[in-house]
Amino acid sequence: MRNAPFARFGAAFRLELRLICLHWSYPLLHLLWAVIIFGNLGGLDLGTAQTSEQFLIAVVRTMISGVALFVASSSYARTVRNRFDSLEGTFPIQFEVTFGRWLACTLAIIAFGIEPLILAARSGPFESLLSGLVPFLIETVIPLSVMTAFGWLLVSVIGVRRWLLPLLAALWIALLVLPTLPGRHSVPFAGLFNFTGNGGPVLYTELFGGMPQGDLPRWFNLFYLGVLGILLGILLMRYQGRHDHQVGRRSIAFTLSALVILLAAGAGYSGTVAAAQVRQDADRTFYDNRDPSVNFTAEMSVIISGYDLTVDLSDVTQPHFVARLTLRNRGTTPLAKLHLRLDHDLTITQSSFPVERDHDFLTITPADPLAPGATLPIQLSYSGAVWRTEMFGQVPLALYFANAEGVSLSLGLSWSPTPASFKVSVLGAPTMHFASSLPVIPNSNERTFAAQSVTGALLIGSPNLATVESGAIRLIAAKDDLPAFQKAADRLYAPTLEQVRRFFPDTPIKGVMLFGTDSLALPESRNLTDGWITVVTGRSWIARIKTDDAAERALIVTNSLITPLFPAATNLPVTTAPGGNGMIINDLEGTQLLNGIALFITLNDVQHADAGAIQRALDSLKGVDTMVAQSLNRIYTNDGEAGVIRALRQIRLRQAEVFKLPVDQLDAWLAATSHVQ
Amino acid sequence: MDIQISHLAKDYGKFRALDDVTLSIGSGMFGLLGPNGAGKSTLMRILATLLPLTSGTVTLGGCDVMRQPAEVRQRLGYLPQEFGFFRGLNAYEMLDYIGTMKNIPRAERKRQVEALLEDVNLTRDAHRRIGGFSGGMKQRLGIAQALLGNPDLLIVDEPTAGLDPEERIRFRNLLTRIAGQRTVLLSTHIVADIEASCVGVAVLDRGRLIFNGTPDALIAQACDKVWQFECSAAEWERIEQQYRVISSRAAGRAYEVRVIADERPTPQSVSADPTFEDGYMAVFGASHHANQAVAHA
Repeated sequence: MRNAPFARFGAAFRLELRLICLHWSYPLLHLLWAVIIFGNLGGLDLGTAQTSEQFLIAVVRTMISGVALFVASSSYARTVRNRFDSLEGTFPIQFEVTFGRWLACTLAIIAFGIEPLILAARSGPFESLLSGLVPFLIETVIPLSVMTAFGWLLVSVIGVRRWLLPLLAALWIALLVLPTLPGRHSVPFAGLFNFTGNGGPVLYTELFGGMPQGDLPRWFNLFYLGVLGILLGILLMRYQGRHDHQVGRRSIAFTLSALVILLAAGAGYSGTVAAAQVRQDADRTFYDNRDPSVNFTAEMSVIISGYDLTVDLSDVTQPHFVARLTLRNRGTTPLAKLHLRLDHDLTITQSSFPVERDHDFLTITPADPLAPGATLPIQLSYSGAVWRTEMFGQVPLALYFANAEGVSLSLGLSWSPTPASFKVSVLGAPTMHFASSLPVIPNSNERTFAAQSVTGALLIGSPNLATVESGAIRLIAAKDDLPAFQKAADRLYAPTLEQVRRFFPDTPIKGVMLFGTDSLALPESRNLTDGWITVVTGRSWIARIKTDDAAERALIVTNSLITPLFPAATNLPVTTAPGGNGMIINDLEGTQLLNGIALFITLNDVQHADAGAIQRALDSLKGVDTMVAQSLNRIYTNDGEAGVIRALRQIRLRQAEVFKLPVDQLDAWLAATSHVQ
Repeated sequence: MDIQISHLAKDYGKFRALDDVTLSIGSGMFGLLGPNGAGKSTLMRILATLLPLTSGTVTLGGCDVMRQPAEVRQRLGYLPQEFGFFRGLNAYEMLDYIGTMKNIPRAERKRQVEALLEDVNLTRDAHRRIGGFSGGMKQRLGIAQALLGNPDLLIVDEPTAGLDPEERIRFRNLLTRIAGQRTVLLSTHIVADIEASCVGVAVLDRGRLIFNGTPDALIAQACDKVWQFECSAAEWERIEQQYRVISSRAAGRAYEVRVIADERPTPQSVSADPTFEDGYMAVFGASHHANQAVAHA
């Protein structure tokens, strides 16, 4: 019979699947799994279907890997347990029967992905579910197949023993504990042994998919395909040795091929991690060893008063930038050398003046020293592959990048330094939609953005990007994420913006540009740009904010809206170490002052402007920010809203002074300023 | 199907389970006798391609069990001493699955499964879960699976162990009926099973072949060596130490004993007609004496 092997494979597959699935324990396990999935995670906002799927990959790997070990060992032991092995050994069969049974066992295990997929589907929309389905299947099927193959091989080697179940439990726990062992970060391949993710926290966004992880998922999956091949190869060779009394050459070749794949993928993974680690260490070393006397910001008596940048993304993997800058000496002495800063990955291809380069620092030598107050137009052309990673645990994740799947250029990359008038024009990348923290120039097809006097610009591009206006809120997010951000805008940002406008009536606030990136990024604020407040936030952050939790809402929402109103806060020396996550406010007291203002404004909204209720709410809180809020509430009680407005105006006018005040003098300072007209 | 075993040896580590066994088996039912631990099951498992041999050669119908196990398996039916089935399946499903494993085409498989269930008297229980079967029913289902595919060679290892006398006789008759068309190799330590059905017999002891021939030839091994006499209780211990006692029966204050001995044990002893069991014991006793002699030497 020519089809006999297929018939045997099919029969073995069907029988094993039936015996596993119709055993009482299997539906019970599914029931327990459904309770775990829907009971624990059903109430959470996991994002869109796609991001939910990615999150649930880790859950499936963690939990079902254990189930896979137990079910696989039980499945393999079935013939021994039923004493059928001595019969089966005399049948004219080959490995196809074992393989069919293993495949059935694996399919039964993979079916535990159904509950998570149903949960993910509830997040919607359907297109998002489909987009994430293939990665979900690949990244759950491969590791779970490895676990079933491992379970089979283990039992085939040690036999059906009484201590098998404790051994399997110990192995599973070891598998989960291994990635948390101390010192793991120093081993570049440690992430390969992390089953709960691709070696670390998974950055997977609706906007960029899994792209910020680069090739790591591919290496990871290939590595485990190699492991799977080796396990099945050994199983095959053991079977042949026992059944045919000799091992076939093809089996050996298959196993060796799997070994080669494993080694190549392991090397690729380790190499990628090691290279990112080396690069990060080199950057750190540079900044640590840099001469502190050459302080970039302090030395910057030269400012860029005009900045016109064209970003050519015709070859999106090698973006080309043309920057036309106007430098102005704002100091009192002539400057023979002018310092600028540009990410060292970006190579200068053309410059109108000689440029010396030291890592991220450029020194331009004009023909004549730049006189105080004088301006100098220069033009710089630079290009390079943008792939700036940050180590998160065991793996590097890209925060700034430009490639075919998306573009993320922001302040942390040092692609657009210092306050200036700013214009960004995007060429190329026709399939992508772009958005920037700069207002869009009308009729530019949303490809030219410009503003006066900005501290930096954010440029995001993705085929999935969408922009919608919602009152004073401009939402910029992945298409499928818009409903969630729309909800946040209506529920949190729009009412808070009204409160902020109420207490800062002198400040013309046109609206909020709300970037929903659903990334690792914390809410990030920038200077008011032409009356627009830019807020970059992740869906996971806004999803967890409770409207009535004033402290949390103040910290996450209100603070992000008022910080841009205080340039002294946003213009504090910015820590833009490579890979840094945008702007960090260094001054602790300044931060706490802003937190206190945010807390008061939020409580004023939550407590319906009732000073007594605000005070009672503050009585249960602690910290410097609470002190500030109490001071403002005292002013509010005594002098009403006008008193608070006056105090806030003085804070804005005298930012540098008030941010440096000792904490115990803040209350008196605020009380005094509340009467200043 | 001819079975040719030549200088077969099988070692488990340092223990030699089979030692220089040479045997030729033709068609019909052939019995393999020997006490527990004689190496019967090891020999059976080698013939069934389950165990690799250490040295020597074994061919079944011209196919070498080590080099051509797949061809051997295609022509083999095997009923091991200990076996089982998937308890959740019914008899029909189990046989159908095994038929698929034996490469029997679907239509033919259905016909064979139904016929075999009829042969082993399990038609009425064909759709009952095997988990609810008695020992005898399982044994009958075992022989049915061994017969699937009409194998040229049927290897049956201790098939009647654990069966009640009625089941045992029924099973023995079934085997005899089957053996008409093929080679059946029956391993047992129950002498009566072989006496009743085999055309040839071999006796193994401690891994060595000590007899190979027809049942009559085995009986002939005990000719003029079987004696019956009465002895007192006081003499009993001496008699048991000195001779191989085949049977004994209390007769009042004395014992009526049947022994194997080269010489007349007592003057009152009378020569008795040897039975198959006597022949087996004679061969076995001779082997023991020889081994003891070798050991003393």
